[in-house]
Amino acid sequence: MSQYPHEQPMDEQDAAVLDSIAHLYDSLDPPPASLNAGVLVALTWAELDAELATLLDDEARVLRSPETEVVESVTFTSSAMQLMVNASTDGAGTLRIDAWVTGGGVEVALYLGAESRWAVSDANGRLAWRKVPRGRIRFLIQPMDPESKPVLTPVVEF
Amino acid sequence: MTGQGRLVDQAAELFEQFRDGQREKIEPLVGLLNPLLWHVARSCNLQRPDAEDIVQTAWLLLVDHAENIREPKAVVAWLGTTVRREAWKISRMERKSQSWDDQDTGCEPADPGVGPVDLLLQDETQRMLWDHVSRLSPRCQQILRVISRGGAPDYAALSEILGIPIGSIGPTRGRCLAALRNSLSTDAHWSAK
Repeated sequence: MSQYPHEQPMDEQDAAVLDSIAHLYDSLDPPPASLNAGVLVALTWAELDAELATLLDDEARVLRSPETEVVESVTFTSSAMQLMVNASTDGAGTLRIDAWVTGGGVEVALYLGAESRWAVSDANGRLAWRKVPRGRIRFLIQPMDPESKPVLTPVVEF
Repeated sequence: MTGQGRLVDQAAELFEQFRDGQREKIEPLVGLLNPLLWHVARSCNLQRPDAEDIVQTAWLLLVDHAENIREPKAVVAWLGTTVRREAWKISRMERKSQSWDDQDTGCEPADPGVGPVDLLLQDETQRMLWDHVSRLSPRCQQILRVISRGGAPDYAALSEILGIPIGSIGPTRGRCLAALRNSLSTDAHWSAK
């Protein structure tokens, strides 16, 4: 018995039509491949209770290096540290990303969508990632002091 | 077609386990419900990047409010309603013409465009079906798109998700399906397939 008197039963043909509609929209407008992973990454960040860094200059600067290749430079700041990031083209349409963070031995993840690439800063605080596709990038900084909160930067388009 | 009654039960079980400390259960829950949430968002006149953001926001809000959801079976309706309301906020921000105090009467049931149909639909039968579906009212398109994600419908969840009184769900679905079947029956190519 139906819980509500207004519920109307569906016949087999109704069910078949609805089934075809579900398949139709799966072809026509499927969820992006990154949807589930993006949600899970966002939930992971939320659970980290990370401090949100801010852009030092409030916007990314676009500079020109002597070799005339476009270099994008941006600095993030939080209560305890700074992360300076330079992006330059390394051929094949990908980027080389150099960064400097306050202190050595600091673990930093570069997130491109749901994909993460971790690097550890050297004694001078230097980090580098090669062959990074262009896109919306953010960084997660894991301080050495386990008592300190991780720091999450805003998303920047490189 | 996965039964929506079953979808609600599966979601309730995973959500309850997640809340009881099995945090890894969020992953299958996301996988289970994201197709439905995606189609709710897209049927609310949201562009694809906005729809992706809104689905993400709904999950963040769910985790934040997990303890306040007393009935685990309500999780599907809770997420769907959140997506619809967030979509409504975005469309309000874009129009800027109406007061924020206005009551939420449901999202705008308009399709934001699905892309080059001929390229996306290689299958002749699907192209024919789309030809008929696209002639239905935006409200019917929205209802059939969302309802098609579940077989035996959970009327309470659908009412919440679509922002339609529970008593109207069955009749509206019936009218929309009848209109589509009627349209298909007049198509000689469809009947011949």
